[in-house]
Amino acid sequence: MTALNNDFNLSAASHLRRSVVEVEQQVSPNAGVTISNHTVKARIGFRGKGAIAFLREQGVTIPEKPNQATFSGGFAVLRLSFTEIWLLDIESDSNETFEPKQKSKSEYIAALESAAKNSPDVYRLFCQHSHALFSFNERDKGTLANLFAKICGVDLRESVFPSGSIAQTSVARVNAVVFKQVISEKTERYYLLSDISSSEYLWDALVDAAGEF
Amino acid sequence: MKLMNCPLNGPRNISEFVYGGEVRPMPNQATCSDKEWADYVFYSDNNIRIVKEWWFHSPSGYWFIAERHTASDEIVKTYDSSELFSERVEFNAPDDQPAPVLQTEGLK
Repeated sequence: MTALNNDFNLSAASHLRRSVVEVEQQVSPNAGVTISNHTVKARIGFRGKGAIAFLREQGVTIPEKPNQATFSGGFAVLRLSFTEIWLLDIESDSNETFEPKQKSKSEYIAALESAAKNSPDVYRLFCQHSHALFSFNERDKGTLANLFAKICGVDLRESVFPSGSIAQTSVARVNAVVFKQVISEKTERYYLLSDISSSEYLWDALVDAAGEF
Repeated sequence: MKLMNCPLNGPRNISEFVYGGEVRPMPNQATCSDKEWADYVFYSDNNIRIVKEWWFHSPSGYWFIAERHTASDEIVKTYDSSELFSERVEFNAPDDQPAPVLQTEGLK
């Protein structure tokens, strides 16, 4: 068995990222829902008693409570428990530089991974290669809530699940993390993280569920 | 549908949870007898009473503690493990003790 090379930075190896689902985007038959595949975009997770303090030192804004998300600079910051944070590149081109760091998002996340290595009580989570990330856009408000009502037991309607909420639950019988971003008064966007090994099944199940919209 | 109240995520379908065994003090594996260790790993009392158990919410990867009545199966309460454990439990043997050696005699 070879020893783990501590200098190796997984986040810097963007060429190793793979998506099991080969489709990048799928529009439902009546154009009510668009599902996009963001699996190969950069993401990173940290856990441990020192994780929140470490990320605040790095200038990351952390949601106040577990199961809340914030969005800034093309990133989503998910607080998945009291001491677990994930940063996801969710929107624009991963090679685009962003202020004020003057780095691409992949470089920024790779730098975070390096900085975490010597921080006490901060444990790196290998969510880059373990999870698939899909997004859902709707043409008319309420469509996605109806879509998810078919496949998820948690009520995701606006009244009880506002923008920035996270639900860690089962979607189409597969474990998933669902979070919501309100884009405008008229539309919402949902994101779904799920284990990559079952992502091909889940993609087909989601496309099937969207078939009526 | 049977529901369980996850301290982190709220009420969820029981199918999202995995049982993790009773909460019991772990004997020091470096110094305890084989009988004590086997008792800790393999045996449970199986009495009718309210037991403290480890449960795992699979979608969020979250371990917590539930108190459950073993006869009625009612879940009395659930809470974060930090209420019982304030620091990490280390599994390493102390430095001044030799590493445990696998005993192969009598296993055939």
